[in-house]
Amino acid sequence: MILVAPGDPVLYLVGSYGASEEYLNMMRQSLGLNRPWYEQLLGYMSRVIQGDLGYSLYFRQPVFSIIVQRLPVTMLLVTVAFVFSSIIGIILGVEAARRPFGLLDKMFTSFSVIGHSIPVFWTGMLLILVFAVMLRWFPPGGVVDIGRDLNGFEYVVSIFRHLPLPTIALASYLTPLIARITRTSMLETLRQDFITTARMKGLSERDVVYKHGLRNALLPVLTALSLQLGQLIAGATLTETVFSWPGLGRLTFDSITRRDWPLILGIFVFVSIGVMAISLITDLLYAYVDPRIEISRKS
Amino acid sequence: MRAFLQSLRDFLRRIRHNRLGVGGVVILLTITLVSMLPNFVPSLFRKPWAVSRNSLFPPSAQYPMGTDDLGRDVFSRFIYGAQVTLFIGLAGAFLSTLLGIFAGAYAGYYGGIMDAVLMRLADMLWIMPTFFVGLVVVAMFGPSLNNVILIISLLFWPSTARLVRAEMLSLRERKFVDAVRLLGMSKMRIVFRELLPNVMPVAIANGTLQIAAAILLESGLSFLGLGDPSRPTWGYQLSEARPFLQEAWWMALFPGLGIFLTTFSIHVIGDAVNDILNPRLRSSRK
Repeated sequence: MILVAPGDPVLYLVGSYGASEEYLNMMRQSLGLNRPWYEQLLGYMSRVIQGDLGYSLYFRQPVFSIIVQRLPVTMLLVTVAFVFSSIIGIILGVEAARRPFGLLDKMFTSFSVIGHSIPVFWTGMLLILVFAVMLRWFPPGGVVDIGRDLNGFEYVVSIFRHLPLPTIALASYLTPLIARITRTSMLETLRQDFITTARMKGLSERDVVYKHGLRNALLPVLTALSLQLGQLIAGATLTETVFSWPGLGRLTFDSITRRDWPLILGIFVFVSIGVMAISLITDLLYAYVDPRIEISRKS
Repeated sequence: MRAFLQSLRDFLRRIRHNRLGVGGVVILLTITLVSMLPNFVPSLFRKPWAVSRNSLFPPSAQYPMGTDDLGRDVFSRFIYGAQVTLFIGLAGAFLSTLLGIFAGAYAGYYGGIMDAVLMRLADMLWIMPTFFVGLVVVAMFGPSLNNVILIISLLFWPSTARLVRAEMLSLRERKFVDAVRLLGMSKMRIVFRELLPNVMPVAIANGTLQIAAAILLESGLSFLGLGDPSRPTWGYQLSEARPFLQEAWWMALFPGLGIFLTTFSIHVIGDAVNDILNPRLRSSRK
């Protein structure tokens, strides 16, 4: 596959200064790019199984350590956006489900269709235009102010000033998703008998909906969300690219322009394994939280 | 075929009563027609790749959407982008729906090993992070128009296949299938003449939504620099606009607006189609 790919990583590394053909061949040899493609592929796969993702052509460092370096920044953005949109999304979804096809529900439905139709990176660009370029409330990109010596406290403040825009961009995409799943699940739950029982016991409507209803409705939401994880990562990649947020997504973008195949493949393998692991964990957690479901054991 | 035409006529009668759906159809038709204009009256438009010295001009009477960093007319690039973007969306969704129908019909009607193999394959594609798979494949094989369409259809067929398979499973047990089997119809004929027309509405509804998904996926890839530079889609134009966000808002605004309006109207149409096809939802709305 690497042979088919357009663009020669060696040429990129050497840059525009030009180098003798001899030197180029020497570099190809040292990077293992001169061997046939099936040998490269097989070698790569066996190394991945052993937990070795190879060396980045650009950074000249192990791919895994580069990924680990960039991961915390991505996690910061994704976690904050996820918590933010979970809270808003769940409340919106529950309120919409309480009066299906009422005013709030209709407003919410159109809101979610809009959220679904805007590409995340365009939301990001609009946010930068309005809040960074026109109003100058927030910096247009990055995690911290560069070119200044910051002590511990200033560092944290700087991060907090850089965080809102990317968070809102990512949340604008995530919130409708969570709200829609919550709404569907709540509609299903509120129709069940134990809700009627709870009402008959004379519980307040709030307790019925949030304590009895939501608690049961949240489990399917979790599963559905774990299936959307790939989408979330795609959104995060695009958001990071827009805001020059130096996480994994931005790294992917840079690696594409640098033709850094080991790094692109490494990120891909890492993300795929991560997504599958998390959906497996969610399934197992599901069985743990809900005693009605048991993981079938072969006798 | 008659069943299909009947349901189509039924469908057209119903969609007229869905105001949002009609709005979506109007927006989408307008965008499509406007994107076709340069083919009929080329003299009205500048060439989308024509470079000029007027770089980064704001919108004016001369340049309705301004110019980009190379002095190209953003308006004619917008129109051209509409053509390419819509084509990728339609072609990608069409191919994936076709693949999905065949895979789903085969798996659902014949069952057996192929059913198991196809469905496991669909499961696998389902759980993979779609965007990243597309990203890696396009990065490796080159961002040509055909590659992007191909990867979209290869990534999107599982959802259609699943729906079609489920429909086929229930349809093949119906009495009318027994009847035509007794009449001596061949299996091929039963699947194509009797069963598939009944599956079409579901597949079409899903295919409509896939146009939007395909456009969004393509835009994302193009935005990351994996677009075909010789055929600038709206996503590609946005990636060109990113470095000039501070100087030239018009470069970022219009292509994005194009993507948004297109996918929005497709989603609205898709919802309308779903409302009409799903009788349970319809009754609860009244």
